[in-house]
Amino acid sequence: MSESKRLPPQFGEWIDRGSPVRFTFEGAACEGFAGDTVSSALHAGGALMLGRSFKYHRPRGVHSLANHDVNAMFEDGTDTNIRADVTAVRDGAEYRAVNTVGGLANDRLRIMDAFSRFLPVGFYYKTFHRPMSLFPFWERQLRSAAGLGKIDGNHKRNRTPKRYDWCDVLVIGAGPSGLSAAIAAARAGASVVCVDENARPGGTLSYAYGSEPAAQGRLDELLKAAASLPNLSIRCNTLAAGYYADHWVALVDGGKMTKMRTRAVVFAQGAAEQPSVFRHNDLPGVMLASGAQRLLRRYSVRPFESPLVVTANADGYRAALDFASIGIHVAGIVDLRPDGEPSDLDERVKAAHITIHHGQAVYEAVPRDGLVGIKAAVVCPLDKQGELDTDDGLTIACDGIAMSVGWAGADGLLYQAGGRMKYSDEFEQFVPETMPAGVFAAGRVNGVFALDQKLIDGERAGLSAAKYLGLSSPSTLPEARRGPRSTHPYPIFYHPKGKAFIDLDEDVQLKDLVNAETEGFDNIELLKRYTTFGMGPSQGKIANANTVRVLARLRKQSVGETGVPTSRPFWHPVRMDALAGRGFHPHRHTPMHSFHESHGAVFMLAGDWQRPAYYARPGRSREECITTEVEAVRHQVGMIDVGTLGKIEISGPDAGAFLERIYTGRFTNLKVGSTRYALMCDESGVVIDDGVVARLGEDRFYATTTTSAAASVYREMQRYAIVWGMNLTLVNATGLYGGMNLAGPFARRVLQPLTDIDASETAFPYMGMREGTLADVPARFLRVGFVGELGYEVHVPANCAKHAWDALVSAGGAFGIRPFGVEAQRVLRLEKGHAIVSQDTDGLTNPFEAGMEWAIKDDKPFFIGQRSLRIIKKRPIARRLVAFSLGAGYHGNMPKECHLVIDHGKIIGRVTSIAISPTLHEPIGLAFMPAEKAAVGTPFSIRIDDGEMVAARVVKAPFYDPHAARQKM
Amino acid sequence: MTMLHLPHRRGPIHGLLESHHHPAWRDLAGMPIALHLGDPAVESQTAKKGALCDVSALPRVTLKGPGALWLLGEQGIAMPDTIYGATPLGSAGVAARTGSAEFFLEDGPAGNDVARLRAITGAFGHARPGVHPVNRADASFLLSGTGAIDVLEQTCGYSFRERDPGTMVFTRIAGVSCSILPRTLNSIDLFQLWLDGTYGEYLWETLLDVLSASEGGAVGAACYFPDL
Repeated sequence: MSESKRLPPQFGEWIDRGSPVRFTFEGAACEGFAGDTVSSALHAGGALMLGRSFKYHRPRGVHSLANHDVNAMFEDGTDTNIRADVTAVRDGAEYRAVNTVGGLANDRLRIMDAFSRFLPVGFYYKTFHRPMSLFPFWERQLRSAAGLGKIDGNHKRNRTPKRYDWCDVLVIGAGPSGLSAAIAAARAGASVVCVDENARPGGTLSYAYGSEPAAQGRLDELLKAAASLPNLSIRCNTLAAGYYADHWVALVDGGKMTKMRTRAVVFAQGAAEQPSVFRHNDLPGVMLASGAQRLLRRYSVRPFESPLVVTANADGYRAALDFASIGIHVAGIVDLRPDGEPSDLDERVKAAHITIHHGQAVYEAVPRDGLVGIKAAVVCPLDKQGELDTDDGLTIACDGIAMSVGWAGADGLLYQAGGRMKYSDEFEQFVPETMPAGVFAAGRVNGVFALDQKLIDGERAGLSAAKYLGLSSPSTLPEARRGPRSTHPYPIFYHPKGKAFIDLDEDVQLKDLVNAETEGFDNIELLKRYTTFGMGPSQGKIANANTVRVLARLRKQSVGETGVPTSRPFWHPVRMDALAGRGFHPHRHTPMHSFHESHGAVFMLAGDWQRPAYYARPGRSREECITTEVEAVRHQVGMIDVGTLGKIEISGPDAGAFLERIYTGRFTNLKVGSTRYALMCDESGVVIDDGVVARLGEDRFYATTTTSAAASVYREMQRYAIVWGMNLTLVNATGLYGGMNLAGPFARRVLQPLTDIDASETAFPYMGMREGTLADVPARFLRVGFVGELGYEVHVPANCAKHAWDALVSAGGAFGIRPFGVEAQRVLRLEKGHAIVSQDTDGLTNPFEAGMEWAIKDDKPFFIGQRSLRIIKKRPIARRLVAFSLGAGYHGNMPKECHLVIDHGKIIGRVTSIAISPTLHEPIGLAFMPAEKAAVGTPFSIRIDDGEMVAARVVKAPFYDPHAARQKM
Repeated sequence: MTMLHLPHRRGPIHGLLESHHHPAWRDLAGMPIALHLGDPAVESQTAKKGALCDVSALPRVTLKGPGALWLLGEQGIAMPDTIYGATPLGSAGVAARTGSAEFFLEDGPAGNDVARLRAITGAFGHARPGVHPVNRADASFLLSGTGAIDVLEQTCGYSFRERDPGTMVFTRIAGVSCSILPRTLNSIDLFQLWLDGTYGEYLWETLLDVLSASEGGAVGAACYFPDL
């Protein structure tokens, strides 16, 4: 650190001198003021070098102070990649530069700069793949060297809120044109939100006014006008990060994202100043003129002691006057234009005793020792073709170079909004050509640079937005003049020794672009991906424009023909915590959830539902717990919570006919008080769901669906009911009823004392349905047998379900009742050979393949998928779902679901379900096999995780109780 | 047997309230409702600042089907003409038209309209042809106070800045489908939410978490229904 560069108090400064801030940088104590950015505070303390470049580890300092200075990124505690140029300095912070080894000053990787000639773009594409055996080594080396910042696993999760917001007109940018637009739209009656990523409003009026005394009052006038409008809100420190369909703009402030839905949007984000390209244009001390002005005006920091200003527009002259106004000795102005500045600024500069070098450019900056600054610039004359005459160079002593050679509209969001831009040869800038409805642009992004014209252009855009919304606005809108031309067509100068940087993020040099084009990467998108220009954290905001110019010249095309890379969100990088926001992960609980929790349930997700996979027991393994649950059902009685099943009530005169069209089976002939299996296919004949349909009355049915398909089946039913114009009422009763399946030899003895129905086999046979009460609450009973035992599925109103469950648990105590989870249920049904739709079927499975053809009743006029199934039926079946066994003596590694069936090295099938049957004491499963290999007794091989082949054999299903006697006890 | 006087009925977040807040309960039409979750004086202030209250126990029913409107008319219950239209029912109840032939009714604590309708339609709803009563098992919450809008704007993409007590809004809150109606109870402006009860615990905890950032919290139903 050296002497302080802080100026005495300045008009309009953003710092609060009454609030000092103390922090450390690379271990050294530093001071600043509240309102400083980290960079401004460090520069004020004399720190020129703020970081190291990405690839060559060259010293870098303040460059733009506009969120493009990606070589000045710091870590502080567990936080990393802090953008020092725009982040407010924090009292007590301990900043360190990222991307160094051994600290900023003594970064051991700075040696990379000496090897830069051996590290052209794409060198690792060409180098490290030979020999292939060494690639993993090189990959590790490259990955450890690449990237900025290190993620600290101890970083505390920051659960930032995410919010929604609404307005009539969103104005992006609170510079003169943005404020003017916002005021005009608000005066017309619109609710207006004006956002700006800077800490204060004003845009160029907050830093580029030093030489324009009249301009200093304009910001106050605009802010006073804005403050008088209650329907106008100005939000600073708010980044418009991305534009999405229907005027949905992502706003990020303080780590929080706001989803702003607006009816119209005005883009007034201004323009990003572009650098000149010359040797050593990246070193500390070489900065954009606007960056230097920001240091000076916002933070009252001397950017240099004796700068050279290189320019091609009036802004450079104004910057020179700004510097001179606070006593900085300006070493000269190098104007690329042969005729110089046409306005009176030329005279004003001369009056300030600043030498102007017309028709010249900077050829190279002369670095100080260690590259930590510059001590001179070599200036050469330009010929009529814009080439430098390097034989006639002049060395001018200076400690900095302020570059003001052109601007590129901050048009990224405009592109995202669907705006079409065209290149204006007159202004050397892309300007809007056509805009989508409700999208407007104003100010520099629209090619308007003069202050008075920007105010007019903003008013036009604001009134246009109001008019678009149907609010009152003048029939004739004001019209601003574009210009003056502020951008040089080619401020880029080759140096045979290189180090003329195009992209400071990625250390892409001018020669890299030339080489890449020579190698055939001659399209702007290809060039981007090969050289990585524009792919760093600043996303090419100060690299794209010059790259396009270089490629256009190499290709002998116009800039317009060459085009620009695609703009995508986000405009600036957005913190991950802002993107994540507060996490919303909806999940559903059945009424019995508290019972499951208190009985050790290990939950699994089934869609949104949290279901018990099994009930853990102390000292027992998962498998032992599941086996115990299976054995309870087989030998005593068990109960599973099936409240997650989809439940749909269908009533009305057409209810039966409707179900016959929805499902493959028959339902008009279903007797009241009975149930029937129901299989659902889509139009192509693919199995999509199954369940049970119960007939409650002549025109009342009750259908169950699988847990995961409840919502989609109900939605499809609603759609078809409307399409078919049928007279019925549908109710999605999934959440309205709790459900429990009581299964096992003792199920009836548990149930009967609690109910008013006759639960006997004769009075209530298998596949029957009854309505009655259970423990004094109304209940529906379904005699179904998914798990292959005597079973009653009981559905009761959800708010009574816990009571009913508890009553059954209590009554079952004497019979050894045990709750069982989804895992036990899967084993039980597998022993019965029952397929689970979506586990044992996939998105192409038809009923013939799955062995479900018995559920198709084709003797009815229509059902969904009927036509397809008739066609499929005529064709040979390619695959079949078969039951298989590994044999009772198998004790090796178990195959898993989705393991492949291999025959002579080829995949011929896959396992869909597998488990060790506690009842049969052998591994059993279901698998898809080619139809010709589906015969009972066919041997086949399953390849498991470690590549081992496991022998299996097709067997006859079901594995257990083939005559279903136990379900009809 | 009607649904309203069954034993042992519990709201969808009964267990959660019991374990986290130890509320003072009372019976409301056969279901416990939490009167207070803490000091009534503090709750009263919280209700105005930012509060969440479980009113799942309020009796409610949906009637669907071509005969539903006729039945309601027969019972002297006027319904809005427009879909999503809402109107008061009794002293503190709500009636809303949720479809061309779909009607939602919720009684206040002193109301009796829902009980009458349930008695007519039966437990599983087949006593009246053309009328299909839906056994509601909603979780229903009141979100009140100055912080309510803030909570909604953090969890919902629909703007509730324009309060319209005559229109029920169907939208998603924190990813859960909800019906929402701006109301005023006991001179407190609030939003009432109805949702599938199986999402009740999730949404309760989520909204409370958002509310906690603005020092809001959970309160009992007596804040809004002083006669309870």
